[in-house]
Amino acid sequence: MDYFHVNANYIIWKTNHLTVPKEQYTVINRTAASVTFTNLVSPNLQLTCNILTFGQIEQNVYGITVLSGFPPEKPKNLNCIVNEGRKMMCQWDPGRETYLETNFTLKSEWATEKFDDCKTKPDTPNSCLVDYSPVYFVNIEVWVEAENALGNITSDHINFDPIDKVKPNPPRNLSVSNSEELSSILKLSWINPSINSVIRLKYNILYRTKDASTWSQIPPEDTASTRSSFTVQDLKPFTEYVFRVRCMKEDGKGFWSDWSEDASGITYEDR
Amino acid sequence: TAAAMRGCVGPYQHLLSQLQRQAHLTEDTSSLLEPYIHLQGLNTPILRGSCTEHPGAFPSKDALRGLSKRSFLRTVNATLDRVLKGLVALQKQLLEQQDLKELETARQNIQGIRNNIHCMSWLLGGSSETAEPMQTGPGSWLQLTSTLDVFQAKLEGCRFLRGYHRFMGSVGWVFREWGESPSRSRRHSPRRALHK
Amino acid sequence: AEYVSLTPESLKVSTNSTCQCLQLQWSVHQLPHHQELKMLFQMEISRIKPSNVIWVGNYSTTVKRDQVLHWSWESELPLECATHFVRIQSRADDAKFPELSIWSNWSSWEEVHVQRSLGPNTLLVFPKNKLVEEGSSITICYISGINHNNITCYLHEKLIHGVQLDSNASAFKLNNIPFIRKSGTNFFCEVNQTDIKSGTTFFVSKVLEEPKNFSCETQDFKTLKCTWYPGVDTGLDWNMQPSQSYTLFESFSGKKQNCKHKNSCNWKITQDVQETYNFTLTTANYFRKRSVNIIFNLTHRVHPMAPHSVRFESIGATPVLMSWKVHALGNYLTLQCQVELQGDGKVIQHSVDMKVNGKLLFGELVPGTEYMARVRCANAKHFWKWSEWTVENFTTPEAAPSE
Repeated sequence: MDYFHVNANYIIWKTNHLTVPKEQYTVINRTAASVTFTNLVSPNLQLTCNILTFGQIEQNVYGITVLSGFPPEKPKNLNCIVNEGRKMMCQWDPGRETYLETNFTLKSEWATEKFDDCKTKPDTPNSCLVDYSPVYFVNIEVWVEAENALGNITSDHINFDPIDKVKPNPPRNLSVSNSEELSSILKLSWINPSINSVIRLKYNILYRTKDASTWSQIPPEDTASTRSSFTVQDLKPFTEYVFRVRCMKEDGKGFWSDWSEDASGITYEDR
Repeated sequence: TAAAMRGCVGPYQHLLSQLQRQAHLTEDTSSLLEPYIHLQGLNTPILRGSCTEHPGAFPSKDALRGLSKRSFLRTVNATLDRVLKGLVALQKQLLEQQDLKELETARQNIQGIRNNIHCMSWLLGGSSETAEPMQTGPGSWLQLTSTLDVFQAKLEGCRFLRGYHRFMGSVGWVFREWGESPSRSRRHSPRRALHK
Repeated sequence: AEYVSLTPESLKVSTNSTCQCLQLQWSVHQLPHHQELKMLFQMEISRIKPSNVIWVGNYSTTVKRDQVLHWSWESELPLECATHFVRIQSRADDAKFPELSIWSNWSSWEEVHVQRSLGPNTLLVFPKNKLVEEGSSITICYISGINHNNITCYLHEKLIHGVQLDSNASAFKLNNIPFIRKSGTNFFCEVNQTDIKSGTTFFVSKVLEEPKNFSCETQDFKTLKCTWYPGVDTGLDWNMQPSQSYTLFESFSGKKQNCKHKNSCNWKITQDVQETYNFTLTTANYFRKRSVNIIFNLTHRVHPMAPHSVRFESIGATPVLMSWKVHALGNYLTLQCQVELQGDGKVIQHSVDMKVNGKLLFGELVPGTEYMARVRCANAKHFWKWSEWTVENFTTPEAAPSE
């Protein structure tokens, strides 16, 4: 500074090569000055300190990168799903964009055992697939911790039995058979998913004539308990129908399975 | 401690229902014994005939029914602790863990049962830890690893699992006899005749 | 010359059930003190009774006076199932001593039995936990105090008939044994209408296969990655036999390395000067060793990593300059790169030689059009493998509005 016969008054602050208004400068003493930003919007700022030598030559003294962002918000709407035969996946609403590297960790425990933390991947910050198999009929406590350079926060805890978060595999091998005696009925048969050995199921059955575009649904109360077949009545004779079926836990806890493969059949001719 | 209780949600009826369903899940021999029998080549009428529970290896149903609720929970917890050790011995027999993936599932389910027993004990105001090892009689518990004879060890493993499933059936039976509230037990209710 | 007898003495016979071996030890006391003599020993082994000789064989060795000699014999029949008898005779096997070349007297029969006490309800099956290789044979036997007619034996579910050795023992010879399962094959016997059962599990190891498609390559001249197809895993449950091991040996450097994986192994390239490598991959289990060998020049086994830092620079209206980089390879090998440009319904292919930075100028591209460019490289001088493709898309700028 002495070499160029300048002092703190000669400092020019720049952000991304743009000069900062003088109003934001503060000269602390001959060799120290500061600059104040009240409402940083740009998440990534190049701040440089420069001096004007000989009254006209701008000389850079130093520069830093200023990362600005927000502390994480409280993760909300935490929920988990157990796809049958696979591990539990939990997801949540991560809240606003923080503009900073923010880590989300899914925590889970029983009363007597803590499970390994589930750390999210950068490209999926709002969900995590745990690496242990679900154990049914044991309540588990789950919550999310979010952390970045500006702070950390924890979601509400949820406590549930994984059996109530199951999304069964769809019924398979759906088949349709008609009846010579009754031309207005078709009998559906299928194989239930293996989770049926652990939970009772209920079903949705959709059907339509081959050419129709809209589906009709069997009244849910008619398919409200575990079964592996169903006879659809009041159908038009000698008509091709398409069917699909899905299932979920009988008490309505958990998620509907995907729809089965469609299956079709033709009602018998009228006598 | 409060922390240990945080995971225990209750209420009593929900926890009891979970324990009953866990017992039902684990008494099913297709969950572990059957896969073990097939894996070890014991699936013949004669060898199946040898796969009988060691007398005294596990508490009998009547012995369990005669216990108070707290004592019953402690006994089940202690017995399951020994079952877990037995499963480790069975694991050592395998070249690769996935040869019998049902073992890991059984281990997890047993951990789950012990967790629920811990919570039920807390609900009933006791602790499941201070287990009075039930005097299960002179029966050979688990001499899996001590014997050098693989054929004998296979039968021992089979008999151990036979006992484990039977034991879980008895546990489920007792839980089904528990009443709707922590204090009452259906078995002690005057209306119920004593079933064998 | 006067005939001198060199009868073997102090014959002792012990048994080893695991290897089903009779282990003999004896001495020859009458040899002159400082004398060493080449001698021939003949052994006779009988089973059940001395007169039932089942094996005769010779053993030749150089002997000193009072030296304790050892020799062992493996029985195909488990030693528990029969009493064995052993005797031995000897003679000089040296032309310098014709007088000693007459067979000595036999030693007395040494009786050996491993038998346990046979109670009225005893039924024991042997051998225990035997390990054999697929296709070989095994002899299983039982000893019992019960009448043979009341004993039935099974190999898994199949009824098996044996040969009666004596009133207490029967033997079952199983040939060309197949592999059934890793947890062993169960052989068991039961006494009809009783709960008395006994059995054994024997383990059949699959035959170890020679590794196939053994090859090594480098992506960075720092590590050689060797891969192969291992064939069947010969590992068995119950700690009877671990999966086969794999070892890499490089003869020029004399270095050896155990491989953790059963189908790949990374070898650190330490000397920059070593160009040629002579690798031997050896796999082994309890029964066999198999080896395969390859010799190659390092520069002939370069499998470059995919190019990176692909950039596109417009030069004027339509020409676009594509540039890319490759990871440094040893002493900057010359690489041949293939470039493909897809767009406007056409595919343009080019080949470019480079060392570290690649450049290619595309002229006559259609303005305002999206193109997909991909590039891969290989060793220009000694082709081995192409790298993976690196794909990048770009769009040519719109044509400037005409005046």
